[in-house]
Amino acid sequence: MAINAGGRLRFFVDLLFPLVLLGTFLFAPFRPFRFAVLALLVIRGLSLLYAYLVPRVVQVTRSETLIHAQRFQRFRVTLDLHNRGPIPIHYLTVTDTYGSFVVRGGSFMIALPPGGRRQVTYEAESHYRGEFTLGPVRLRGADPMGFFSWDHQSPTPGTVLVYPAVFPVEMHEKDGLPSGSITVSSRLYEDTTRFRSVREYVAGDELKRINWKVSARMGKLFSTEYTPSIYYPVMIVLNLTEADYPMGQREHLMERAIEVAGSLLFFFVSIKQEVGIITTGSIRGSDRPPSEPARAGVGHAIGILEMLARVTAGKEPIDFTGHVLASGVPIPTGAKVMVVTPPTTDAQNDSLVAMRRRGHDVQVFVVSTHQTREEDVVVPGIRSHAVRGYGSELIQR
Amino acid sequence: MNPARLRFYRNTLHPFLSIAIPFLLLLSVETFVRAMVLHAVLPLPGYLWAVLLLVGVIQAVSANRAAEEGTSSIAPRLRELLLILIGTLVLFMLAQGHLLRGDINPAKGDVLYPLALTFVYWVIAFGLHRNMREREAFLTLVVDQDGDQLKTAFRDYSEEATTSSARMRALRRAILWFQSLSLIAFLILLIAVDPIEPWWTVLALGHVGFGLVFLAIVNGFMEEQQHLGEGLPVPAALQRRRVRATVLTLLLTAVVVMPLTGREALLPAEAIGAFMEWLEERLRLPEREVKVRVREGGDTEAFQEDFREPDLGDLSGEREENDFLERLVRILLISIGALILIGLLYFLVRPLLSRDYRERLRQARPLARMAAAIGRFFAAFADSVRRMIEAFASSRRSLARFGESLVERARERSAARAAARARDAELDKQRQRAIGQASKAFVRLIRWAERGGVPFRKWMGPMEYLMLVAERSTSNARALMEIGTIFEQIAYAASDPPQERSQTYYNLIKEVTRQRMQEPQSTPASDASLAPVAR
Repeated sequence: MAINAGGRLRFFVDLLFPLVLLGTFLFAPFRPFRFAVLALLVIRGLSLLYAYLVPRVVQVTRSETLIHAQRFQRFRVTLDLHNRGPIPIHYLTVTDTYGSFVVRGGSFMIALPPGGRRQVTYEAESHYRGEFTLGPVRLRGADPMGFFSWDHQSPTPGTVLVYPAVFPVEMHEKDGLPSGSITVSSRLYEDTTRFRSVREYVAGDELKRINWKVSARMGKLFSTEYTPSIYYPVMIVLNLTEADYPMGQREHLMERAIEVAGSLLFFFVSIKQEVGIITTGSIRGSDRPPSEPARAGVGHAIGILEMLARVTAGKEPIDFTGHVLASGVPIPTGAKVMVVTPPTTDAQNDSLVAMRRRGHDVQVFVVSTHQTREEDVVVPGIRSHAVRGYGSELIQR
Repeated sequence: MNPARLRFYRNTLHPFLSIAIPFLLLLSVETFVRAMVLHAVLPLPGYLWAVLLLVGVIQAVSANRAAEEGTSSIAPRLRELLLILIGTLVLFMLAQGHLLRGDINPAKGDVLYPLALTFVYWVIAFGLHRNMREREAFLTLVVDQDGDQLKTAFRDYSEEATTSSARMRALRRAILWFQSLSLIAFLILLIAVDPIEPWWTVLALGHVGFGLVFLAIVNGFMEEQQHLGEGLPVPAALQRRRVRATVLTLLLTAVVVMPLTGREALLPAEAIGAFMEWLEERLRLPEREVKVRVREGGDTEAFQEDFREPDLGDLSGEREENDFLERLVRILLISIGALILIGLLYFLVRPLLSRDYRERLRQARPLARMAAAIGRFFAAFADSVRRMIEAFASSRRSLARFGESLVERARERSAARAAARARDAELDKQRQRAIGQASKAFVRLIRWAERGGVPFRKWMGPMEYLMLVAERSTSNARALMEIGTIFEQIAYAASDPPQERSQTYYNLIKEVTRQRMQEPQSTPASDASLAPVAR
């Protein structure tokens, strides 16, 4: 805390002048003069005491210490102020430190009566994904006479977790493992637990499909039909190895890759599939690239989304195709592997093809600049999708 | 800052301060000095104070009129002063009865003295009001603005803000000086005159009280300006709270001080005398005995009988030494010398420690340049020696021709360097022009994007910013990326882009800024459904 511009002690005003006043008060024989001198001295003393005490009795807390938000979406930050002392505060300035957010408000001027509480709220918007800290909160004010100003910083930390932007994705998968939650047209995947209808027998129908009760009632043969359905676990492989991205627009492309991963995650969770993720990025405080095994459920998806909010570029030159196996995260049988990556090298292409041969349905989402050649965004032998550089429509073709 | 408050400052508070501060000063100091000296010398008409108040009002009204008309010339104000002096002169001559008696000579004490007071009052009131006028001028520039707009306006008019702040500080200093002057006059009055009239005490205490209020007001002005700089106009309710708190502080002070001020001083005044005596005793030089020796024998016996001359030649010999005093003096002298030396040293070294100088040093890199120069010198020296050896060994040309060749070569090099410098300067100029034009176009694009809701921040790079713009304006994304790429090439690349590429840059900007910015995209429904769960 600083009183009077950084706590400087001014020789004449703060030391000599009060000493002269004190000396005059002690020795001056005239009462009115002593009164005037002592009044000056007491006022300065009271002002100093006020400036010393007030910052110590004001308590600042945050209503929410962890705020979740989307990119470009406004969120509210609320500060609670409490005057714990018996001194009324005529006004003080409250300024929060909000870093790179675009903010309306952020500074307030409020009065606090003794024991009073006030809540101030401002709106902020983040143009960037990530984990951001709020605080410290700066409190400033002065005594009523304006002799001493004070400046106090309250740590009051807060965290804002900004999720990546998520866009709608449409994917129509026809293959997978039988008996799931996705209805398909292929009769190969008929689920015998999900009855659909009964139709007249057609030559070639299996005997076990004949519905004998209906056939007996109707006097001719009828076969039972079942709803074909599939499911497939999904493993999103997000390549965030910094060196794999082109130098120009690197940050933007990485951000776009994370958005693609987030959008795929949302899509597959919405059709009730198990989703896992393997990345080559890094998260502060963790020495391993973050990964999650394939599981179902919204809670699991939120965990992955928070991970995507925190993840940053991986500085280590890790080859993502090798990392898929080295990460230790099991890829379930029949899983669809959705690889989100910048244009790949020949070696990486070979590894992806090898992965496909191992029985995984590999699809590649290539994130690139608008200057990239078309042939560079296609991985031979693998279903490839070019990701648009901008806008809410992610997949180009 | 709302217009009503500005009007209140301009029409009420500032004029009141400019009238009241000098009025109270003159009233108190004149009363005290009159009680001591002037009552016997110069009579003072009782209506003078009413005249002074009137003069103050005239000054304030004229100042406001001048501000409304936008005239800043001093000539009209001097004319006003002259008219006021003439008017008051006539008034005093009439009121004192001189004119009625037919006496038109103004050189009289009872006329000139009030006239001088009127002049002093007008000058002080004018000076104070002029200080506050700077504040009004600044507040006019930021009136009706709030938040970021206010902050920006504050930055735009930073010079006016600085001037206003400096004038407020000057005003505060003036109030403090006036307070000191009045208190000193009162102290002298208390010492010099007995008995003291209650009216004088009331006046002195009133002056102190009002002085504190004025100080609080001016401090409030300075605080308000600080808040305005942060984009926070102080609401009227909070202003009222502050006034209430100030009044409460003054009352509390009076309540605390009243019982503390007893009839007698806590320490007797004699204690100061005793202390001074003690100090004098401590510092007094020891008395020493001066031995006078009478010269014996001589030529003029008659003279020696009448007057015996002391031998002054031996006076310096026997001196008693005081160790404590000697040490004290030595320490004092050394301290003073050291302080002077440190002061001088600081005075000499201070410019070298300044940020500007360090910055210049960092840019100029004198050591690196010196090292390069030494390197060049030795390289040239080695080259000369080599060429000398070659000249002597191979062609056997004369030393004179060798010298000529050296001079010729040096001249050629110098001319080549000058030409290269001129070429570089020309290229730099062209490049700066190109960058300037491109930057202007880019600023147009920024304005366009800001109107569409993407504010530009200083720390953003051009491409970084355009990416954000592209997020909002997806139909122009490709064009924006192209603009960013070309602009970065123009601004940062070692070589300029081709002419047609520069033209593309300007065309694209024109094309993009002609369109309307898109509305911000709404968050898709699917993620909105998950967002509340995430919280």
